[in-house]
Amino acid sequence: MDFDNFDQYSEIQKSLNALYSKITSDDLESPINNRILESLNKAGFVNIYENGNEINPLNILSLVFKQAGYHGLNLDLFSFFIDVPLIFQSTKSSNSSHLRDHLSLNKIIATALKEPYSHVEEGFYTFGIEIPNGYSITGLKHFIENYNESDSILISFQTHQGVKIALINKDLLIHEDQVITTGKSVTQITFKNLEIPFENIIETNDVLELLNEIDLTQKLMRSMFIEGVTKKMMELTSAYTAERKQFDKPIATFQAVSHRAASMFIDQECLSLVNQQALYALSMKTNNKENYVLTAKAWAADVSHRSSYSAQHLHGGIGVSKEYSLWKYCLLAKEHEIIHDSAGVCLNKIGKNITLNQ
Amino acid sequence: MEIELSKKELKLKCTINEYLKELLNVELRQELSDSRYFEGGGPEFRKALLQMGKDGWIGLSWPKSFGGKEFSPIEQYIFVEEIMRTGFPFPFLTTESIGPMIAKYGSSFAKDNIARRILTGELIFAIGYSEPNAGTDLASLITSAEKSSEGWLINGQKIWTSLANFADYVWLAARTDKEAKKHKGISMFIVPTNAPGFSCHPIHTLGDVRTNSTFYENVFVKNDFLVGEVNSGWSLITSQLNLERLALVNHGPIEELYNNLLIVAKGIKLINGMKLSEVPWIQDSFAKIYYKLEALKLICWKQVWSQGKNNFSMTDASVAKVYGSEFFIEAYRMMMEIFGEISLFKSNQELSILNGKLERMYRTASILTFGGGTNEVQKDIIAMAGLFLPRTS
Repeated sequence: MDFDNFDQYSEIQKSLNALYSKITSDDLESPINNRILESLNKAGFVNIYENGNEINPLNILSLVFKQAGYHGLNLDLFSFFIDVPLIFQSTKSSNSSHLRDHLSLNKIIATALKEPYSHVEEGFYTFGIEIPNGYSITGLKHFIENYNESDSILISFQTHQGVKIALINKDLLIHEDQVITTGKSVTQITFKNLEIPFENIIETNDVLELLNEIDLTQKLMRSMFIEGVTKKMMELTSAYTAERKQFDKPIATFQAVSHRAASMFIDQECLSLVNQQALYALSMKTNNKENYVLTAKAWAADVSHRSSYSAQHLHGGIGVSKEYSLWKYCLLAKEHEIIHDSAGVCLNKIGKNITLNQ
Repeated sequence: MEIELSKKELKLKCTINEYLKELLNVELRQELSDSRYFEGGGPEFRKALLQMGKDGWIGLSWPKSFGGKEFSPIEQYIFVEEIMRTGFPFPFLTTESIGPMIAKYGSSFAKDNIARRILTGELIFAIGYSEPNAGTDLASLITSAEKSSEGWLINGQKIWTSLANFADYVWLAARTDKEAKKHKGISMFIVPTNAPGFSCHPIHTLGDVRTNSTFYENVFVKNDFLVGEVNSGWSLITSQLNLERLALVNHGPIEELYNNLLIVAKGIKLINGMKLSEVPWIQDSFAKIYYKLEALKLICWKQVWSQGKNNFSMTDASVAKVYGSEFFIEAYRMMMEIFGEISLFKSNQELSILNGKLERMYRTASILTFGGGTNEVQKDIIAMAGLFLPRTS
């Protein structure tokens, strides 16, 4: 057993911290994806999937997201770094030019894999009926990130022959932006009898297994992002309570305050450990990876909720004021607590896995 | 024992409901959906408040001699509950806690010219207690009021003075004796927001609620604007806060949201033909919110029943405040879990749940765990006054 991080961990972390520190984001609503992507690209963090990289890409990605969370950056690059590379890596035929264009930022691809209420049921509302030259699809996809910066889009849909993924030109789609908690936009697209030729279908090995892997990786990277966010909340809280005086002494000297701050620390330690375990399991593709990732996301969602409210409460009014930075961490925490499943949903899935497998 | 509303009280509920349906016309609803006005202060809001005053719906529990109706505390609670359900930002701190203080302890001038005008819907108050260095330790406030020949000169700064941007007066705590012990040297004043030397600066919050810093530079108020005796302000502050705590956790708004979300969940059909409300873990979540909501309702009811018996308990007020504020946070979280990612959509969007109401309510929820007296201090009160434990040092 070895809890040490891989050798280059500190160096990568330092380099990301330096990079992110230059990208200030006081206003969560401003789109910063392109600025971040360009900086990450220059620093060599975009094309991490290239063969010959001695560090597992997931390890690097985990730092990219964790440190972004720590710096309170509202970035929408989960599908850029996770969905698109995983889809093209699993293709039967060579589609590497799409991936190459995507990772070199020439032609960015977004993904439309989510549907409303997918947290409570498996399956797709979006359905494709086979027609002579391809499929005619009808349905709705939502929570698409980075849509406006992308050139084309990968969508998943159900057919009588199983689940398919197709690459579509954006011009064919009807879209609508939806504003969410932090003020950023995600996109919803609707299709009615949209014809997709067979050549647009991405032939992958096992689509359901691929989608499951994407889902698990998304969950884990969002847990990593939350770990960064909640770590910063904890640091802000301990600094503030050590300095803020009431009754002529720092409020941290009141047991109720210090104990609540200590609970944040315990939460942070647990989250960090389950994240580490899930990262190991997912990168090593161990048998129990699904439950470990679900455990990590459940912890991340819980810690995100508890830390937000503890931090706000221990700060008092200043904790909710937009004149102080905590507010943006709280909104980021809430978003990622819910996206790709809340604690309740993850625990429900773990419960099913444990009881049904036994 | 009778743990339910009487027929008379249920009838009152219906009457209020009918009245509010008419009052909240399209123009008013439109104004309240505008983020600049959802806390009140807009022209339609002012118009509605004046109408309510004219129709006798403000200050129901006040003495008839003041123009009130001497309603029982439970009837008054029902009124606040029903109006909060509608989302109308009724200024209950003005009408239910500050107004009664002025009616009881104010000068004749204040009783006749200010308290009465609260009942007519003409006046709204903001509360000026907290200062940058006096939050939980409120008694260490330093904003001063110095006696001059014809009144008082006020100097200092207050923070979190919510509603001050459109309020007519600030209910202000100021130090009038720097030599006395902290709690003994404070007095209460009514400060007009149009007085020379008063200024107000916005503080925007993550819940989109605006609060303010207010500044007082040689603000002059006449002797008539002092409430109660000089240096006896602390007891007025604590009495006001006890009344405020119950109003903060009224069970009406969250029950309304819960009922509406249940209707939404019953209407959402999943791919497999099930309704969202039929998913077992979602039923479990609804049940968990329900059983905690029932307890909150009973805590509030018991408290107003006690008030009716002139048996108001400081402990009960603190229990309500701690339980209610912490329950709200947990309940909003569970509600958002039920609807998943869609619960993150803000208002005015096709798929938003109840026009983004849940999303907004969760963002404002944390304010209540420290606003109106932080929950740690409330627990100290419960330990001392409820359990008779030794006082903490």
